[in-house]
Parts: sequence; C-alpha cells; structure tokens
Amino acid sequence: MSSGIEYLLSLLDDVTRSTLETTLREDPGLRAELMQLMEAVARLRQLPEDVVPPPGLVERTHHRLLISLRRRT
Amino acid sequence: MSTASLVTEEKELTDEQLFESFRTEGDQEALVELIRRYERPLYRYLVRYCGDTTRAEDLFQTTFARVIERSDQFTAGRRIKPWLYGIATHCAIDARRRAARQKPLEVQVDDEDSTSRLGTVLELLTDREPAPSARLEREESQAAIRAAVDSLPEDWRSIVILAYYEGLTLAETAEALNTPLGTVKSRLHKALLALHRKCSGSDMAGE
Repeated sequence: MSSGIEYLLSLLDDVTRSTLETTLREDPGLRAELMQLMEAVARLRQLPEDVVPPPGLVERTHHRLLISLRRRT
Repeated sequence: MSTASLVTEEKELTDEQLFESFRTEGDQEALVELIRRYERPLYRYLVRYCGDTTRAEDLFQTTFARVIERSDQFTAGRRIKPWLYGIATHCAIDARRRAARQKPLEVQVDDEDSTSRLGTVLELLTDREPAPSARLEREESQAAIRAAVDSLPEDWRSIVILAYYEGLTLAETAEALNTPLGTVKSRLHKALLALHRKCSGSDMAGE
C-alpha cells in the first residue's frame, strides 16, 4: 500500500484519499495492513513527549565551539 | 549585528539568517540564538536516537561543531533544519558504531531519575493517579516500544524518530537523510509494520 503512510499523515489530496478508501473497503488485506500501521503509530505516541535538556547546554556548546574556532584561526 | 538589533529583530530572523550572520560576520550572538532554538528538539532527538543523556549532550555539541566545520557547504536557498538533523544523524550513527565496537549498548538511567521513580513509601501510598501497577504497566509498555524502535535498522529508526517524534515533514526527513522521498515513505511503512510485529510479539510474551 504505497499511499498508506500519506493516508495516515493526512497528506493525500481528496481524490487520492477517496480512491484509497474505496480500495480499503473492498480489500480486507489492505485494511488489516492499515490497521497495523495505525496501531504502530498509536504505540509510538505512548512514549513520553518531553526530554528536558540539561542546564547550561547552550553555554557549554558555545564554549566548545569558541575553543574550536580559536584553534582554526 | 548588535545586541540591540538581535533583540528587536530576534523574532523575525529565520534560522538561515542567523546562520548567515554567523558565517559572514562571525556573529556569536546569532550562533548562540541558533543553538538555543534547537536546544530542546535536537537534544531530544539525540536522546531518543542513542538512549543516553550523556552521549546525547556530546553529540549535540559535536553536531554544532560539524555545522561550523561544514559551514562553507551550506548553500544559499538550503534550509538549516534538515541539514542540522542530517549532520546530527550522521554523528549519532558514527557514535553508535564506535560504541558497538567497544561494548554492548547499555541503557543508562540517571540516579536522580531512578530515585524519583522509586519514590517514598508515603508517595506510593498517596499516589492516586496513576496507580503503581498501572504506572509499572505503562513503563513496561514504553520500555518495550523503545526497545522495538531501538532494534530497527539504522536507516529505518532515524526516519521514525524524525518523522514521528520531531515532527519533520517527510520531505524534510528525506533531505536530512539525503534519501529520496519515495524511499523514506517506503522505509517508514516497513518500519511501522516491523514495530507492530515486534510490539505485538512482546505483548504476547508478557501475557
């Protein structure tokens, strides 16, 4: 199912989406595969969204870059 | 670019303008602002990619060091975001390969985090939402999903993380990984089916 991913991400235009939905209604195999894709996405969404950077990350990164830049000049 | 102009124009400057200002004028404030804009999303991406907060910080710094080294390769009209994620992905892949040669990958848990997760007896007694058993179940489920993502082939995993967690469009993901758009779609499709199989298998094993 080449358009399955785009369908999941709502990236299909109306005509293509409608055609795919017709195909899905007629093909239980494709329907089952789309369900598997949707379940996989649902599982991925169970993971926590946020990862907090450690304090001072920007400053330490910039410091390292400054040292690197000084070495180059 | 003076501090005043950066402050007043900050919201209007694009990532590309900031980078250009650094590249052509050596504007350190613009560079810091660019790092700050990507601090959270890029660090999060790297933690998810390598599963290790210490390594993620080193990779974050290495990514920006490479960005500066390769600044001459950044051509006009290109976008910073996919370029940056592409460099970060290469850094992460290199690090994983080095680590795999040295020792098996270990999952690192911060002391503070594990302590807070254990909690006190009082917290366990008063913690109503969610119930400890439900929380444990959720954490086990999340660990299984993480393990499933981690076990995907390198080029599938990066697509899943970029496209689903970091919100890059498929076109940006393709650009970041220097991979044709059709290949990105196909790999994402295969990766999701593989994740479904792996997670379904782990669910069954847990029953």
